[in-house]
Amino acid sequence: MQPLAILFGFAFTVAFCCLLGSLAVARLGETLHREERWPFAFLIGSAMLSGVIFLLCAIHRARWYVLLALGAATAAWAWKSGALRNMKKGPSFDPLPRSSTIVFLLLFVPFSFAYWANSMAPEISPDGSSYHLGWVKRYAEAGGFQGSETSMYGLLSQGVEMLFLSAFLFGKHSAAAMVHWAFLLDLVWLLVCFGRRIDKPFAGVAAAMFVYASPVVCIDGSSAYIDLATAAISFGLFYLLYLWDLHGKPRSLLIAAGLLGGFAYAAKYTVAIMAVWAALFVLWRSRDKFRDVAVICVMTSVLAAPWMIRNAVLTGNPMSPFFNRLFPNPTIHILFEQQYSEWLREYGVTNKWDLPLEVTIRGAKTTGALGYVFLLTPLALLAARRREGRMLLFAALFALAPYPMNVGTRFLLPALPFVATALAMALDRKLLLASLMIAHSFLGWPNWPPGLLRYSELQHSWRWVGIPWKAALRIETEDGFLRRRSDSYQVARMVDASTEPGARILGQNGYSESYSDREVLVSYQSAPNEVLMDIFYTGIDDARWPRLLWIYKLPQPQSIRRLRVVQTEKTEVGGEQWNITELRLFGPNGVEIPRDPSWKLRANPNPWDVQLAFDNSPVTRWRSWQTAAPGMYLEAEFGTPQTVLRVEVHTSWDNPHCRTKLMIEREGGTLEEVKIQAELSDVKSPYWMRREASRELLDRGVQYLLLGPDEYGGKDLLSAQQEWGVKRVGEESGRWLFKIEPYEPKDSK
Amino acid sequence: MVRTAVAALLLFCTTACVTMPESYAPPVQRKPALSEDAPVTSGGILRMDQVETDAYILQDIPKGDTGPWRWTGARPTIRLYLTAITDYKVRVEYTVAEVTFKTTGPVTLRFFVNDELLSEQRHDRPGTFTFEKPVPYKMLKANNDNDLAVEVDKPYVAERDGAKLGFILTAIGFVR
Repeated sequence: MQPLAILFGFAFTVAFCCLLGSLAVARLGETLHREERWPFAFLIGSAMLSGVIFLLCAIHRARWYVLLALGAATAAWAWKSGALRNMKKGPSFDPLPRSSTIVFLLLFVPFSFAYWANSMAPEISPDGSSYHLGWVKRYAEAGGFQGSETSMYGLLSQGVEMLFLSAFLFGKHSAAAMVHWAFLLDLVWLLVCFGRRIDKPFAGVAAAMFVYASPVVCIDGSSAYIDLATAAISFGLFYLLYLWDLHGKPRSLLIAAGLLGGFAYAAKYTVAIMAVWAALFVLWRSRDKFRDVAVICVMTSVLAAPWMIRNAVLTGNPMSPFFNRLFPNPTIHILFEQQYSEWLREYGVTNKWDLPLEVTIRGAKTTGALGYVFLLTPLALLAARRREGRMLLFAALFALAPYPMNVGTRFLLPALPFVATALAMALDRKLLLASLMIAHSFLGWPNWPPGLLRYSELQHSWRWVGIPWKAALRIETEDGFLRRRSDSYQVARMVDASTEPGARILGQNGYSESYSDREVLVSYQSAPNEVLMDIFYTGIDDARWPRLLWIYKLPQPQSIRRLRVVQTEKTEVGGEQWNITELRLFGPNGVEIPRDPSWKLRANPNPWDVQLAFDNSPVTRWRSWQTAAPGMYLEAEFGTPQTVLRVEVHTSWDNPHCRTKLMIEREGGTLEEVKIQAELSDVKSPYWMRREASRELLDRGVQYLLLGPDEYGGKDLLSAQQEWGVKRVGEESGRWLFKIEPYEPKDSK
Repeated sequence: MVRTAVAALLLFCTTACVTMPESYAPPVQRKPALSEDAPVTSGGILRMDQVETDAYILQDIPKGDTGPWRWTGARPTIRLYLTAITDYKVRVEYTVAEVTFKTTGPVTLRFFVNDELLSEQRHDRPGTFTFEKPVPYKMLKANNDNDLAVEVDKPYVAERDGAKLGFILTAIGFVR
């Protein structure tokens, strides 16, 4: 039954897209050839269906029966309106040359079999089984959007995931992965059609196979990723505007292109650059520039704006998890974005001259290789001899523009159709192209040629490792396949078996969340999670303990209405934050002034965490969460003036370059600096930090910790369970699960 | 219509401005567990009745036993991960058994940290002992695995199977 459910989920979603798209294609008139209608119907329809499912998620009506009813209604509408009959109309291309067809089918058919098996087999891809489908699973269970602000991945635009949701509701993970494969098939079809459009049919066929047999495309396109969907959207958008320019610039094509521009944003932020390309292209080629650019912008916003609004509502940042400096918010820290972006720009490839080889034939660091044929990419420039070639290269330039921000091989995929087509155009000799297609396919085939792979660096890259047709048909059980192939799945199973429903687990890394019913809070994925992990680290890392004490002794007791501690140094060490564990005030008698609910606490930056410096906990602290800079401050305004003689700033040794000054506002006065030098004291932390940290985590709703021996604090947790107040309750694939036990002070026993 | 749509789009863009919070009141005050209230710790000490202990045994301590003590071999060795290296003491709780003492006579136990001799203890009579001695920080490795071994100069050799027995171990590890 499971294979049937998978195939139904996949087929239903693809059919729904095609039916919706056929309604749109009917309005495009004779601009499309018959062969182009279905691929464009799927692409435009997928954009429309993505928008519809977004609305259903927003109102929590994304249920299988609702989709089934809408699908049936769309089918009836498409039939009654004649849209389906219209798909057979229009001019037709000349038949493909026999040689092209034979070569293409000889390669395409076996690869499609491998694609089918890999996409229908249980989903094991790292991102697919964790966050792409992890969020889809949550939405499927809730019938709509759910808790996206707990992880940056939930805040990325999820236009393609909306279609995965449709498939997932019927056929779970594999159905979603197959929908992604459908986008790749659509792209292949479009590439072949484009070759015929420009009278280069063999170049079109070659471009299609260059893409289809690329090792990274194979594994990505058969997983629940979104990269090939973005490639199809980018190329579809390009193709529509090419036709718009060719056919006298009809507005219907512009509207369709605008929708795809919006879908590009909805699918992946970085691909939104193609909407910019579209607007510039229209601006360049249009006769009525203002009107046409406005049309494309408005249509783009139809699908892009909902995601912006959702994020603005959830986090205050319409483009979360990016642009946090522009839109500061409590969901994603600025420092995280900065450091994460730095890593994405590197991927461990320190010498950028290594990148061409890394992304084409190695792929170990940048997770995936495009294949040997793409070493010839510079030759694609020869395509500039033709107008279409120049258009392709210009579009490729735009599609590549975001690449320096993330040098993973997958981030080249939106540009791949343009490069592949331009390359095939440049080398437009049948024998040469056929040889290249065969060689490229031969080397892209899973585990083929036998033995040779061990001499290639490709063996370390992310690629197919076989054709799991038995798993696809569930002859090998899903659980058996996943346990055999995925450590991450085994961790998910262990976590579910060892914890109670509703449990919250804190870890430095996630696992196959889409196979788990528990919520894992991965430390780097959101600001609140980072705060939780900072509390954990404070348990063991004495550099984070509040050992450093800055003491301001006023010459005499002062009646103060407002007090501000200001950071004065520009820290040269990248990423050094300013931290304050506690800010304490003492009266003339030397006794600490108790904090009063009438106090108003403020901080800049990161105002949301200011209470952490006033909660009397040694393991929580206010942090700037961006590199310390002069002018940052922490402030307390008192309901009634307080008589203060001494101010203590409790901080830690992990911000050694930060210095502070004290500013006070007397009654009726203004805020002014107090010209006294702070005394520095290295105090011994009197607290039981490990236990205090775990107690704080428990108070904040974290019941479990998931760490491994190679993760910071993991070994300490295992060797000092009693100090932490935790008990190991599970172990799997190098990850330990600890349960935090409730704190019971001695005197309560 | 187009102009209206553009105006609406521009208006939407302005909605992205973030409202920064004005101020917060002090939160509920925590009552930290001061060290004297905190639960008694074993530190990095391994007790023989704990299942977890097995994970740290390198040699000459039988695994899978959860009784309160275990017979050791000639050089029982454990490996513990330490984040800090200051203020640590080695602590070993053990018994020199009368039954082996009858054969071996007085024995000397030598305590090694990372294969460096920390101290030695001579026992002229059987009995239960606790060895505890501060470890110079130079002998330890921060954020790393640290080995602790106890070597018996004259292990008891069983006549029947030639097995070597050292002493009876109850607890071993680093404490602060």
